[in-house]
Amino acid sequence: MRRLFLQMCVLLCLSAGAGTAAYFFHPRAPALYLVEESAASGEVTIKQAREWEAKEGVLWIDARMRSEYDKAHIPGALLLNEVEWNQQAFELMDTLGKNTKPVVVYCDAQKCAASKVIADKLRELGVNDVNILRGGWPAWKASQAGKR
Amino acid sequence: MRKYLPVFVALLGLAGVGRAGLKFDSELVKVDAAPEKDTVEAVFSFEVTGTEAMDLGEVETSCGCMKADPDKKTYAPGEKGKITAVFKLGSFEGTVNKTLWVNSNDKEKPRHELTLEVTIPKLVEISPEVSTWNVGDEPTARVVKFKVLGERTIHVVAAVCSREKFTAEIKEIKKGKEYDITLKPADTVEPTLGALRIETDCEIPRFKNRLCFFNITRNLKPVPPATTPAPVPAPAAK
Repeated sequence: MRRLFLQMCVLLCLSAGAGTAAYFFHPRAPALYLVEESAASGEVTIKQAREWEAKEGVLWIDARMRSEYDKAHIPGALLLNEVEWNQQAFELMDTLGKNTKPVVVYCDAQKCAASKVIADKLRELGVNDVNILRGGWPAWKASQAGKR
Repeated sequence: MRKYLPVFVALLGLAGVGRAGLKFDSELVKVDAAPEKDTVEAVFSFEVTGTEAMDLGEVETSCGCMKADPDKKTYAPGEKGKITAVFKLGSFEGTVNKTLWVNSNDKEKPRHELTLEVTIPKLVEISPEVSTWNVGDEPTARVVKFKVLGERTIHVVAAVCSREKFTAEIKEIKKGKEYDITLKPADTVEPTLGALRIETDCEIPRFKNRLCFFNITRNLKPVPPATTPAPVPAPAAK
């Protein structure tokens, strides 16, 4: 029994040693922490969006329902959703037309398709640099929690 | 080895029977919405298979415009149940597909994906939806066609541009059925994005105002010049 235990310890030490050596000496060693998932085409991660915001500003578009927007939203975000499109789009066109900042659209969560629908509509109208926030509103809230 | 075979078969059978599963009558439900309604309801019926009770978790949706709930949380084996989805019609028109995800303690398939297809009749047709000019183009007028579909009559009462440098003029082609709205920019000096709100007397509040858009852009591909026949080369002199 004792021999088995010693063998296990030796094996563990060997694998830990190999891992440590790879971390320090391998030219393409991965980082020892979780790497932020990269964004798909047309998407932007919260980290990128925050960098843009700090640098040149961002025009945030909230594609959630009005009730959700009224509870809380990203500071400065404008409400534009599918349900009230005919009312809201008219009011927003001037702002969107004069805007020179990147546009970032967000909705409830990763599965929410509303931000994609709104982003596609804006692109079709000729609005430039329209992006979808990966992870949506929860990603923003999580990033706020991390700041505290 | 052969004597253990019935034991294996029995164990496999027991493993299958012991599970809780969800079987939906249809994973796609199609509904037609009456234009006058604000919401439309759809029911996804299911049956619990297996021998264990089924616990349903949150029903997630692809849009805040739709809420869906099961009629209760726990179902006995063999019990039938339903998930009712309520879809807010708002500005939607035509055929719209939205997704629902049902979470449960079904070990084989803990998440079921369902689709709701809603067809909302189009009352009017507006063409084009976006009128475009290139920066530097002649500020010529463009016509937006407004056509009422079906038996209903809808009158255009006003046309309002979101940008001051654009004007809109309504011309009645057929009363309550067809209108031409002439859209004209004062100039095309700089990129401009805006909306044209076509106000009507439609009795359904959500269809009272319709939108189309205009855009003076630097990105528009140049319109190819009218084709002229290529010059015929003169015959070579001998």
